[in-house]
Amino acid sequence: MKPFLPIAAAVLLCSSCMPVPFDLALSQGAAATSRMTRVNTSLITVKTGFDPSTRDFAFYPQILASGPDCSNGFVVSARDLSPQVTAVKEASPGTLNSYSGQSFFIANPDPYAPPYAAWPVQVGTSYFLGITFDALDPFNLSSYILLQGDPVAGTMTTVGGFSGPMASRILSDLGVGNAGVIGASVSAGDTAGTFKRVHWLGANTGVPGQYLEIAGQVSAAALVMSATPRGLFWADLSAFIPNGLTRCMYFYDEDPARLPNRSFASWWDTGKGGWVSYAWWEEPTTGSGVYFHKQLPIDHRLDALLSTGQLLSTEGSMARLYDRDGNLQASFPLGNLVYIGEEYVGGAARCYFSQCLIYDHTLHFNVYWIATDQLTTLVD
Amino acid sequence: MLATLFCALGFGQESVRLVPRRVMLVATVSQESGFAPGDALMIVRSLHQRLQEADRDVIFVEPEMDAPAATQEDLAALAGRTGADSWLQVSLQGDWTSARLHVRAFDLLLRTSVADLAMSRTSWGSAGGLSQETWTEITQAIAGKYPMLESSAPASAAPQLARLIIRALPGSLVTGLGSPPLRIGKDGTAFRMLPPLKEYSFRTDLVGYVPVSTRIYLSADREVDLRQVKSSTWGLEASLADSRAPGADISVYFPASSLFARTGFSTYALGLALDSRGILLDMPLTNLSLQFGTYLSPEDRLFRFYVAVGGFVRMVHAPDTRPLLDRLAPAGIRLAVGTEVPVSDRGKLYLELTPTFYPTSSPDALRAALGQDNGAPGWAFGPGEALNILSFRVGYRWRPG
Repeated sequence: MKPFLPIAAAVLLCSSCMPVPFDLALSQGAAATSRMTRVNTSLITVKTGFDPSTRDFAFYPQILASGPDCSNGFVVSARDLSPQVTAVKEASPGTLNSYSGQSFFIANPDPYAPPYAAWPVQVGTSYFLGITFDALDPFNLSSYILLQGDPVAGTMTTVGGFSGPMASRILSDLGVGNAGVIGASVSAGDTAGTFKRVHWLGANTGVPGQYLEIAGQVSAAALVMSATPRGLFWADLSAFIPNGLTRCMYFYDEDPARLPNRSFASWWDTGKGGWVSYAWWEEPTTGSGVYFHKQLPIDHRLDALLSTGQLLSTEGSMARLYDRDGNLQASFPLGNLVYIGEEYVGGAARCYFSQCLIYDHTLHFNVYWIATDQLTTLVD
Repeated sequence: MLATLFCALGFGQESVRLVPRRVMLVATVSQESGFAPGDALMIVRSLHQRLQEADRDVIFVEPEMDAPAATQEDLAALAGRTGADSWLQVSLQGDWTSARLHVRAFDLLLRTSVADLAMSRTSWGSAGGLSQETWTEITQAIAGKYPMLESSAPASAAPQLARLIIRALPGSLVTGLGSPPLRIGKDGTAFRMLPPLKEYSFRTDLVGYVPVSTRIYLSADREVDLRQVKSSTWGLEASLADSRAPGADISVYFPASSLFARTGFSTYALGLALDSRGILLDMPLTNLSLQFGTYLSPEDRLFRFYVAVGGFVRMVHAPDTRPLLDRLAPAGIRLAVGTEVPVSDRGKLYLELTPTFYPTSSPDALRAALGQDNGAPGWAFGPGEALNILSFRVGYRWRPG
């Protein structure tokens, strides 16, 4: 008995330092990925230094004509109030090195955190559409940044010089002044996967309550402004968009099979202390200038409008799928998976997710996809 | 005086020889004291040794079993049953760090008090602190106070033997009393002739019963009644895995063998963190386990070793989702190598090394689950599996009577 107690005490002390082989987020992520397909053939290791306080790592592979390619891409993360975007380039199969990166300060990142980023789109060489909030003045309407990154060359620059943000440039290209973008999104584009679409919601800085919706098309050659979906009219949306709103999650459904075309916006209602979502449309036809709107029964942040017309929320690492009227269709935990975008490959839409695994102080990533119309199968 | 007494009784008319006196040693512990029941035995053994060294003309013996001996009449009766003609009682109060002793010695033949001493000891600390010097005061008071008796009984040239009769359950096997082992007969007894005036240790085994180890002093013919306790076929245990996860198990012990089966759970939902995360752990993970094993040592050994092997499933019970198997590592295979030590008649503490094998579809994710700051010691990862060799479990095992 006498030697037993000190030995047992020593064992208790030592084993209390042992880590528990469990992490709920990783477990839930594994449950989701068990029904997905992995893009990368082997684990992607990214050689980059990072502060231990950095979180929410996601890997955005570059997009080639054949689909996402994990040999180059971007790593997006959050550290304190600073979203960070880093270009990473393949050094050897399965290992990527970091090159230049950029950080952005967000005065009030929550509840929009994790970093408000969008799928990298290829324009010319390689662009990363880093839609995030600039920062210096969080109440500045012109607060979106378009990053141009070329992971192969190891460059990362902002487009447009940023005395005038890209949003202004886009608007000026269209001949519209006095607008600042408060929401933007990237859609899967066409079924052939040859281009993606970006949509912007601009607010009239001169006349409160007036808004303009703009669409852009990304091709291998350029970012081209397409016709504004609802025409070059300032729409009065003051009936439901709070005056002074500077940021929101914005989507536009341009699928001709789902008429009338709906716009969606989701923002943090500081008075309510929660998310609110609205849909609006024109009747009898898009472009008529006669607007209707409805509040959707959704109290979570909307992160994507999918090609199926479903709205996707990933707030709190929980995926929630809603129909266009806001009815919840399915929910399932994402764990450590981060939704990074939707892409057409072989004519079928796929949703892509990034999974980050950190061990030995090194970042490792997997990228998975599942057919968009199969997302509901992830419900246990 | 004794010689005269014996002569008056008709002894001593023939050739006489000297017969050593036999003094029974007994220790009593007050209920209020800080001494454990077993402490008295260790103390009296230490005193026994010193007294025997100090006076080799006296045979000091200990009673076979604890018996209430509150009065001098009780002590005299107990001495008689022990085959002694006198007694020495040590009454213990206090505790190891502040012991108070009252020593009384009485000569039953002369009906006189030999010693009556009170003393205190503050330097013991534990049974290991019982030095020779601690008993000097007593040995000096006792040595030479029990003179040998003159006896006219003829001394036999041949060695005399005493009959040791053992009463136990029929079929019990007694070992330690020479070859061949002694088998208890259908009438519940067996005997063996043995040289007297010696101490004997023997062990009694019977399938389905806890083995009994017995130590006696054989002075003359005597009987020993053994109390054999039936081995329980089931038991309960409470445990702590890796200093974090509390658990409970129920065990089934297969009769007539050393095999056992065990099933239970351990949970991280209400465990101990004891690290930078805080004091308590609240991970929604519970392991349900089933093990089969065998004991490698007899049940009455101080350290009883065993091995077991089994499996467990990992249930995740996160809020807002129904309980599911952990998809990352849904199950594990666990080896247990352990030992248990008794802390009471029915209870044992145990310590196990539990190397664990985890089949997993994603060893990298399991590795990441251990945290950023690993190489976790004791872990190894393969293409479809992980192994943790530094896993431990401690607990308390209870078997009913």
